[in-house]
Amino acid sequence: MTAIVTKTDTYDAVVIGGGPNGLICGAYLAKAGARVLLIERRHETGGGLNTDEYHGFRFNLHAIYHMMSDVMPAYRDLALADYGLRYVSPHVACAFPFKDGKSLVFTKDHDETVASIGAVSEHDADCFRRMWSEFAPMLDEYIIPLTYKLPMPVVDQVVEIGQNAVGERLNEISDLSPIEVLDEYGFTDPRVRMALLSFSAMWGFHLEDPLGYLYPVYLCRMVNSALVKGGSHRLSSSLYRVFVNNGGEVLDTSEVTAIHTDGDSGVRVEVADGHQFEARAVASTLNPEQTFLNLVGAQHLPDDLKFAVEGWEWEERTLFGLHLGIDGDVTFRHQEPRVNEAMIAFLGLETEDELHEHLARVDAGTAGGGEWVHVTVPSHHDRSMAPAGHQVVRAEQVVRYDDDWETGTGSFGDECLGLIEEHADLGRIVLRREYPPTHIEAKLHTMKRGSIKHGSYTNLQMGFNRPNDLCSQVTTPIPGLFTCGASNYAGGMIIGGPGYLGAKVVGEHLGLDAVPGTAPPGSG
Amino acid sequence: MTQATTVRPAVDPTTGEPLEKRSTYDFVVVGGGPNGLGIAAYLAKWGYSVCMLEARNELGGGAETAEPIPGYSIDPHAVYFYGAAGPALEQLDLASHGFRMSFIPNYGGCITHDHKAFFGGNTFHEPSMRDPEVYVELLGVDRDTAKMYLEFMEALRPRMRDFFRSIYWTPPYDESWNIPKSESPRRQGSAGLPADVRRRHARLVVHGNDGHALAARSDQGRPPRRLVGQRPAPVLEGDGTPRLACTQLQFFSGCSPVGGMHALAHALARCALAHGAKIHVNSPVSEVIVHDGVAKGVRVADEAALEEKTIWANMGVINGTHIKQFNDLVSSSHTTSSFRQRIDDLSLKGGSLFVANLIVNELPEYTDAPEKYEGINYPTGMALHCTTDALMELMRDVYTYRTHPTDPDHYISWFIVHGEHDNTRVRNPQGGHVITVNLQVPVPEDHRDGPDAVNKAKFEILDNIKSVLRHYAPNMTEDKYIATPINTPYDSEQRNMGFVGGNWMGMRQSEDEWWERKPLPELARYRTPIDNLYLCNQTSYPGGLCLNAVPYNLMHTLKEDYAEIEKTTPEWWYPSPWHITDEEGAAMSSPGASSLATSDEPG
Repeated sequence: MTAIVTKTDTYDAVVIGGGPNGLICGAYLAKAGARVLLIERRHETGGGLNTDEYHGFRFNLHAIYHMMSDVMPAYRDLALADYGLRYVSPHVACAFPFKDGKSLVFTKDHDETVASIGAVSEHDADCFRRMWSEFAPMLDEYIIPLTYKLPMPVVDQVVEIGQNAVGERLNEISDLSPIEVLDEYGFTDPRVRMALLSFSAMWGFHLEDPLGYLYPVYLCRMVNSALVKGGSHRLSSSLYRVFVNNGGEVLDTSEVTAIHTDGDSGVRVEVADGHQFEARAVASTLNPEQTFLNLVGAQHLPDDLKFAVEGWEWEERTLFGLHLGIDGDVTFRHQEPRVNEAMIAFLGLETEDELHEHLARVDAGTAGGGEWVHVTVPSHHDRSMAPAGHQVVRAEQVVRYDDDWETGTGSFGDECLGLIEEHADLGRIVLRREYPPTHIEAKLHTMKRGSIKHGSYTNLQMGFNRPNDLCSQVTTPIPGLFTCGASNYAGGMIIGGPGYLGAKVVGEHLGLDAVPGTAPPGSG
Repeated sequence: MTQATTVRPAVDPTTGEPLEKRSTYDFVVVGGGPNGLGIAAYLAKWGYSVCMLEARNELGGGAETAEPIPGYSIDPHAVYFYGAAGPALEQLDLASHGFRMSFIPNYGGCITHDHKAFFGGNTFHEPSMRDPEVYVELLGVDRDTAKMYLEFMEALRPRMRDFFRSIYWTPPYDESWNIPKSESPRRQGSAGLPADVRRRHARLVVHGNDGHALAARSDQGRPPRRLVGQRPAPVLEGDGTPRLACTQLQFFSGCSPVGGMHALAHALARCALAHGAKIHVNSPVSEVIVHDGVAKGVRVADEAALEEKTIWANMGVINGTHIKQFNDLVSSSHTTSSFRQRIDDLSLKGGSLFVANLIVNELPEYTDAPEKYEGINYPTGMALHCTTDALMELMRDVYTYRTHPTDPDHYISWFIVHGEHDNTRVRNPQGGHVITVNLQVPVPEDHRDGPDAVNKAKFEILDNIKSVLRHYAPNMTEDKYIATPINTPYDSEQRNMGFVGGNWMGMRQSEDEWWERKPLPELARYRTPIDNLYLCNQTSYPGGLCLNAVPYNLMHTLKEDYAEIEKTTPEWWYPSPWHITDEEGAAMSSPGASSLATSDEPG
């Protein structure tokens, strides 16, 4: 094998990991004039922004719904649209078709959504109107701007936020679990409650635990969410082009094997063939276990950091995907026509109790594949996702990592498909791929145990504590080493926050104004 | 559903206003396959503003790498990098854009139906490859022929790179020019060969099995008729030299890029981007805009991911698409009906490939000549069931369009054991190996059982491949397979619209569509009937194989056509020493010069 040849072995910054956050961090830094090398283990950059094409069908095997699409600062700062990024934002976001012919439909038009809820429960429609009227300003004034600011210690944040009524209310909501939020606003209808809990439950969150300010995010932003035209990978490739257009260098197919922190002038990064690169700043987007225990080495860590990293918790629930290529169309047989227009159709559950029971079975390892699934037909919204006359279907559900995926994947997929067929007429299935959580980890090693967010969202791992109180400011106790992946504040889910903050802090370290001091983004 | 969906427009990052349309460039390149990427990189590095538009979601065309099972990288189309002898690696400095190779000296091996094993490589270091008896035994040729072949190869070896460059990395000349054969680039490129060796070369008919079971056979003094060197290519008259070169290109390069073929596309794209090129995917082009016979830009299709519906080209438009798409891109009012008809008439009967990627948890343990594996491990290429007769049976089947094949005795399967040479291919924690199998099959359109004959038979073909493998390596039982993704010719076309008709080679590789006649005589120098519109696709000379040759050759033409490009020639550029310029060609065509054309030396 020929040796690695780069223009130099010394960089201003080396970014480890070419996922969304690594690319965002690298693109900002390169644009600000830094010499940046981005090292990616796989043959492609993009990380969870993965779109695989098989026989003309484009499968988003990992990330798909972009909740922060246009409010993500990188979208504007890096002029991603000019690099070919297009969001397709279906008017009907989510639909819950029920057996008795009723349904719940969440659209971008608030009044339409309220009317849909009203058809199931007038009382809950009022509750929803009140809840939404409180949530909307919370997002605009606090949650979205805070996503792109370094986290504050909890006490400071509560004081900072609680200076007006909206912020005070946000502080109150943040202490509540999703179930308690619904109680707070007085929701009573079991179907409405099931739907409103689904927006959190679909990502594996525990409904009994406080979610901080994430409950409003996952509700409001999901309704406003978008798909990337051509598949999620197009977001990463537009970032990649900004990066390379601005002089950034990419070294793919190269696994980082060590981070050496004993140098005088900087941190050195070693890759699989022994080649080393030195940089004034090394920004890792890997999870804390990889960055600190595997690459730096436990023996080189201060005790408090070692202790914090060893306590890192993976997510308890992960995802199972079923991907179909269909010759013909996909039509939901529900009397509500908008089910067929929805970006996501939630199938299988009717009430809140059923949702709780289902999640209990997931945790116990007894849930089947035909109980609860959410389905997207990306080609209904973006014809480029499948060949003419064909559709591509993406179904996903919450599962437990420790189930027997080695032998159980096929039958689990059968059950999942059975549930979809109960609700929809599918043309001829010409391609079918199951994507169990073991695949998530095998493809993207940083998502250990299928942890799509690099680690669970618990109070001890969120906000100022993500990944821990020593590293949440992007800096780490190790001079020259920075962290800015999904395991950093404000987490994963393609919100683009950690990479943006990484560029800001690393840029300051390098004496660059990498992140322009624009007004905090609003939700527009 | 379109009314219910909003597509967010491009906005200025600071004002939020719609972006000013930056839609004028020096050059617009249509198509982001290896050749389109190559010319974009050359032009961008030369200093021009370039906009590349790719219809598909991904760049790279046939230079693709996929990961159908997490942790296993496969190449569904192109597998080998043949372009090591070309200038582009140096000129575009691809290594500094992340391009790395896994060079393997032990390039090829084969096991015959009577269980003899042979190995060879780009150095001929394997004694068996220099022993005439090997060829006598392997292919049943007489000893003198075998010796002659070896003599020829020995003489050629030190001149190999120049020999290749004179064939591939030199623009073809205009066939109307009166070029004496002795002045032809390919003759010049092998000029250092002793005369008698060169004469023998002219008479050689080399039967190669995918380039690794080489043998030579004299053809009773008749001019060269057939030379088989490359899998998807037919056995046709007049392609002796390119066949031989192709075989040797494999030996010379003998390798794949680290990480997979797509690494080549990455490196070319990064080179273009690093020099300021703009690249858009999901952006099909519907039309080349022509005013008064001059290409002015392109119109992008309605579904393109661009606000701009027109991209203007100040200097030129480079068409990187298949020549068969030319008539769709250029309105019929700008070309003659006879020109269009001749494009429609171009034959696609070039042969195609069936690709099976075997993801296995154990490597084949061949029972034949196990000592051959000691110290050299697995060659990158391995042909099983390999004899001249079997190859000829397969060729006959394929080029009479009648089978896929179904008779296991006709199988010549070509195994490539990546995992042994590039440890980046397998990253799944459970380990394993990726073996690529290529099998020659007819082009779908011409299959006598209908265009989907191969698609219908694909699992049967896979079973036959497995049984051939198991015949030579009994350990390869069904439980050794983790997954077996298949790519039929039609699958290839579906992924990659450049493979028109499922044809890997673009077109038929025959005398009338080769050299200065490729794709048509008047298009040989990459120019078209439209001024400022140029061709840069594998359907131009010298074809595919990810050689980076078409873009390099095209630069010669562009330099002649644009005084500014000539004037700004950068230091890193060097032309082909065998290039015949328009001026020289015209001079040779003059009545006085034609008397030079006296040589009738064959070749």
